[in-house]
Amino acid sequence: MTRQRLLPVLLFAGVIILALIPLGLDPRGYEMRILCITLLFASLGQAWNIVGGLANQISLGHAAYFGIGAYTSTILLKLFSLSPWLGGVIGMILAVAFALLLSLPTARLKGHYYALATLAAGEAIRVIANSWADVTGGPVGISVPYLPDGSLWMMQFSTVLPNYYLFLAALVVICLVFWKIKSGALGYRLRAIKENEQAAEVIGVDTYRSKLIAACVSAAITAFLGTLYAQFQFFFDPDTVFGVATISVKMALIAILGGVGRLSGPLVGAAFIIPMEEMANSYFGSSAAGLSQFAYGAILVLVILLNPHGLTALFAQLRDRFTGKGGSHDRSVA
Amino acid sequence: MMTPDPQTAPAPLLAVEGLSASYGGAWVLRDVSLVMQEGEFLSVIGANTAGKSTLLKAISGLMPKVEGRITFRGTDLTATPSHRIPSLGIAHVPEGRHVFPDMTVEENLIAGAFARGTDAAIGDTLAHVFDLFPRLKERRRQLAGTLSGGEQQMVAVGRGMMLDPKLLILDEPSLGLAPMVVEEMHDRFHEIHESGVSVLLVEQNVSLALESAERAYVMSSGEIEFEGVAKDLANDDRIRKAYLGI
Ligand SMILES: Nc1ncnc2c1ncn2[C@@H]1O[C@H](COP(=O)(O)OP(=O)(O)O)[C@@H](O)[C@H]1O
Ligand SMILES: [Mg+2]
Repeated sequence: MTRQRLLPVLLFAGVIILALIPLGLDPRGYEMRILCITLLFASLGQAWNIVGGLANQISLGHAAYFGIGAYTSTILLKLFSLSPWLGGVIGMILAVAFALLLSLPTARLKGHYYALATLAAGEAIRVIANSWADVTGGPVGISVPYLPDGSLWMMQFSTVLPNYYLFLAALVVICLVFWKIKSGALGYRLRAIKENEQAAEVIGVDTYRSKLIAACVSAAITAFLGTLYAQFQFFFDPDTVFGVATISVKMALIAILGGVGRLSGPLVGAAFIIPMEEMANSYFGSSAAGLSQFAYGAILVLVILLNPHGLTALFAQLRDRFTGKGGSHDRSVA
Repeated sequence: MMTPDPQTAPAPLLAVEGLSASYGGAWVLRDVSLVMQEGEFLSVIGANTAGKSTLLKAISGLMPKVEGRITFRGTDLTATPSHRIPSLGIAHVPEGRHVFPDMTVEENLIAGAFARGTDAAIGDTLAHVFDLFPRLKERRRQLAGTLSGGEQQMVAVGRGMMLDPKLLILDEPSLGLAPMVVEEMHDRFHEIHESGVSVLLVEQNVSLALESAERAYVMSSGEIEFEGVAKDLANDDRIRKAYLGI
């Protein structure tokens, strides 16, 4: 298939373009920050896509992993001056432990029940972070200690340019992980589970284990992105990193809006949602912060009504219409 | 309670002894015992909600809670995780045509050989399944979700056969199919049985079940009521009154 060959070329070109964009921008400017956040959320959407897209488990609690990552590395940096690279790895381990714990009651849940259970678990962690002030700083938030002579090892830089390339590298790695899983043996098992769990069981797929592996990989990646976020933002509080709307729902929304289960889905979703959210916020001002949530809902409903397979499928449909190709969207689009 | 006649049961293929099963609440099966010989075509009949599907699920390890013993060629199935059971040679075709709708017919069939790993003979088995169901060969590139009900059932049975099973478990394979298709399916079941596969069939069409099977168990309210040679049961007054409406 030519389209299959085209995809890596397109992605490679995309990475090159993304790598060149900052050269024309102010490395301390507002646009750079938006680009960084967009890359971060594309990665988060992709991490969510492993569970929500490949294993079809609609998680609304991924903020738990994100916050665990952000807090773990930041607290370890504060207390022991530990490099965020190491703190981030410890955060990944803690997030995987939490994913395993969460899987005990939730692995057999389906659909809305799984979504609600993960939502509740994420909220529980947020409440704990708010009240465990001795360690987390509580609702006041926590600052990453400032190191005047920043370095890659301490993940601190004088401009956001290195952060940008870190986010870009993370996105590339996470996309590769996603693709590796999707096209490998685990992806095959997850696809069988997604299409028909009972049929998957009777052909001998270990449905519990497959979903658990997907959940752990996704949790670990999300936690490390939490560390990257902390080192980029320098200050955060429980309601931000453990937030339902700010993290959990946004991750899901980005993947679903772009095209759930597709490699390109979260990329398209983030490129659409993050800049739009920023525009809405700057246009309506922070006084109407709730408005962006409302806008999310409206857009999501609209896209799902137009095409439940997300924006990528919608684009394919439009392209087919303009190029006069028959048939609806192609399932093989990645 | 019946006990298997030791004369006819030297080394059974499948032995269910004192099996109780539940979905978490009350026991849905109570003290069920059943034996099946190597090469047999056995049927389980009974009214709706009698527990037939539950019995089949218990054999395949899909019930959350079971008590009692289920042995297959000497292996204790109650101690075997469900995903390992296919590799023992048990193919379960579940009730309600569970195909993978967004996979092609061929992908569905290949998936049926999942438990065989990288067995070189999978290609031969695929050819055999296509011989059995030539329609599937014609539609091999079509998405299974777009097939007719009868064709989907062929996919489900063909997928079971891709395991190259010792025991083929069929749960209501003719539910909702046109009479012509039902007959064709049963002809295939005979062919499968002739080729040496033991068949355990649950069929709501009791007269058809008793025509196809050599022996049958009658279930009611989670228990085995009685058991007998299929031909005799077809003339049994209890069966005729309760299930054949005669
Ligand atoms: N998934 C389930 N959860 C709880 N109860 C169930 C489930 N499936 C079946 N049952 C109950 O178990 C009993 C036996 O059902 P089943 O084995 O499906 O009967 P049959 O196949 O003979 O029609 C019924 O009372 C049914 O309501
Ligand atoms: Mg049934």
